[in-house]
Amino acid sequence: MTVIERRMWDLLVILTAPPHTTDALTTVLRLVQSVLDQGKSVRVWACGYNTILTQASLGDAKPANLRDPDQTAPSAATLIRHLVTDHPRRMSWIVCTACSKERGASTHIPEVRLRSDARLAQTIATARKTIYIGGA
Amino acid sequence: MTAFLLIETQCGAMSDRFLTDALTLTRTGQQVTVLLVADAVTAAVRGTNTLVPELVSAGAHLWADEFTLVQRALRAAPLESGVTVQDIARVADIVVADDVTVVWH
Repeated sequence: MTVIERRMWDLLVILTAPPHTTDALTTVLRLVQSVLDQGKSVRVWACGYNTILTQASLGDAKPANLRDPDQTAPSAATLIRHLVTDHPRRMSWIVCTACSKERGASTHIPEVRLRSDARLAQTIATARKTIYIGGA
Repeated sequence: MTAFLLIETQCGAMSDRFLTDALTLTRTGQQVTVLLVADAVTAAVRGTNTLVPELVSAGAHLWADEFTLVQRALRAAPLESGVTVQDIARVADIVVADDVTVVWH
């Protein structure tokens, strides 16, 4: 019998707390960046309204800040895109298909993976450590 | 012995319940570190939360997130005795350590 060893990830963050209501997303992005800076590998599983963060329709930048129109700020999709592309094979952003469909978040940036919630347990099994951030 | 990193991000009654759980865990002899981040960081300021000095007395490590303190203009505020300011890189060290259980609230 052939045994296929699955790749193990150092950290899995399951993010269900809704974005833009608290600082949860900012804290998660800071933590993920810091873990990546240490050479570790990270997966984020985006559930609930976090599935809207990677919609292609968000574009590259946030709407202009009218108090400082010359300054541009990256959209959430851009931040996540750079996290993935700057750390090939060490960073993965997974979007829950059920939550995505439920919220009409249909077209995502190509850097993220779409995965059925039926595969959540399997995803947890391939992480050395999982942090669950509830609140959806 | 398993160590615990308890990450508190909220304030109010639910936060107090979480910190009370942290206190119970500490008093049972577990190695507990509590990170106060986001809305919870105000609990690190002296005199704002009675559970924080109790946790310190019980032997827990209390950390306040530096980024959040700066973001909320609290970097110069007097912190509760025993609370140390940490950056996210130190937190990341502990999060991925083998024998540490992480709970996020």
